[in-house]
Amino acid sequence: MLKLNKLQTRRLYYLLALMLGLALAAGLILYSLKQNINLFFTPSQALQANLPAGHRFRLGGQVKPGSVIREKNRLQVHFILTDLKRELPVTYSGILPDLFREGNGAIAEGSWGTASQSKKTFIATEILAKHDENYMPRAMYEELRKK
Amino acid sequence: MTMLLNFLKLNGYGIYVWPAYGLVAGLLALHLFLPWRRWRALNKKPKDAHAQTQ
Amino acid sequence: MFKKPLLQKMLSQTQVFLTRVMSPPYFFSFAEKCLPWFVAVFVAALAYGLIGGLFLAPADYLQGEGFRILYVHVPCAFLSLMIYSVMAVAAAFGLIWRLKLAFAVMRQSAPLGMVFTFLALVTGSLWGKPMWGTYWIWDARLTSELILLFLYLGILALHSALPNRRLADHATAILVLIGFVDIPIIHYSVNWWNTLHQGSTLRLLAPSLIAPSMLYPLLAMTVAFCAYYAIALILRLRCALLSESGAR
Repeated sequence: MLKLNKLQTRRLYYLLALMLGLALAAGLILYSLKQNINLFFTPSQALQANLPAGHRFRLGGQVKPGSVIREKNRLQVHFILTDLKRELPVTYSGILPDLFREGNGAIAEGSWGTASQSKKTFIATEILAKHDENYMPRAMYEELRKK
Repeated sequence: MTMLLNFLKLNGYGIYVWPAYGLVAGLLALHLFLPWRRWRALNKKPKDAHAQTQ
Repeated sequence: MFKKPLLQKMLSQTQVFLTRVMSPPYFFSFAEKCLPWFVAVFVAALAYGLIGGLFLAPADYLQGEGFRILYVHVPCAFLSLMIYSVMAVAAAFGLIWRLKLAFAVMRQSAPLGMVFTFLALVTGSLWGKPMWGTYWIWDARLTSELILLFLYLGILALHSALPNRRLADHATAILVLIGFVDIPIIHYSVNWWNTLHQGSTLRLLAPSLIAPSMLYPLLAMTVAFCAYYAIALILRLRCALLSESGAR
């Protein structure tokens, strides 16, 4: 009753081979594009990449708690982005998104400042706020912070 | 009334939240309605044909 | 003699099962019985999900009331991936066993998947503007989801472009299987690359990273959307198979 059907087995093998080949091809392509697909550099990567002044790129990391300084009478903001290994000072003038808070993630788009200093500064023209996948009510957050 | 308005505002996020909900509800309702109408149209034909043969 | 290759044995047994279960008349009687249950699940889960998501769930500590878009965005995104997976399985079944019903499931799922993908993109951008500060950014998650939308469009276009039904089914099924590479890319994009988009909230194997009072409405909405997909698919299949047999 359970006769083997060679045709169907062959079709299955063809499909499996097709899927395997595709997965392999996609994997290789994505691997070779790895750097280009990343949306931003972390501070460590940015310092390592040694990009010239004026070259636009995105810098992403955590806004270092306590580092945000707002200038009086101007919209200029200074803060430090960190990936917990290296940190970089960022300057931005403009309106910040709602979720821009100390300790949260942020992505700054811009380039290295041209001012020749020993300390590198990132001049941002756009700031995006990043949030994580942990949602909780305020009370629960306060409780977690206490711990 | 002000309570309702306050709720609809959702702290200022209402202008983003309600279009999102509305769009989802609208498109999903449309996609249920379309095959249903086709189904009714399809159902009518054989019934009419049956009536004619009788 | 005694030991048949396991794979071939499984295949032939599956065939016996499939030809019995996947024949349109059996399917119709089965679908007729299931439809009211799906509707009941849909109504109940949607009612709880909406009330829970809009009223009962507390505001997020960071995003305030704005996070309530989560309750439509996450189910849409989940369904866009799930429907494509269903289509890929149906395509494989159709290609191996030449089942008419499998091809019909594949073809009739495509518009639904396209709608969910579109909705996931739009609700996501409506969420992104107040939270991230931008409607759109070319990060890996958003771009791969946009590619999924184009895949759905391509599938529908290819199927309607080929006049021969058999050829259309087979060619589309192969396109569906080729496009399946995008699904793991979408899912893992937030882990593999730096993205603006956050990681997954719902996790199958690990505990979800969301407070329980916010989680249950989300699960209910996801169940409701799955039930919606089942209802819409059954209605569409009924039309498609009937008009096809009626035309002959």
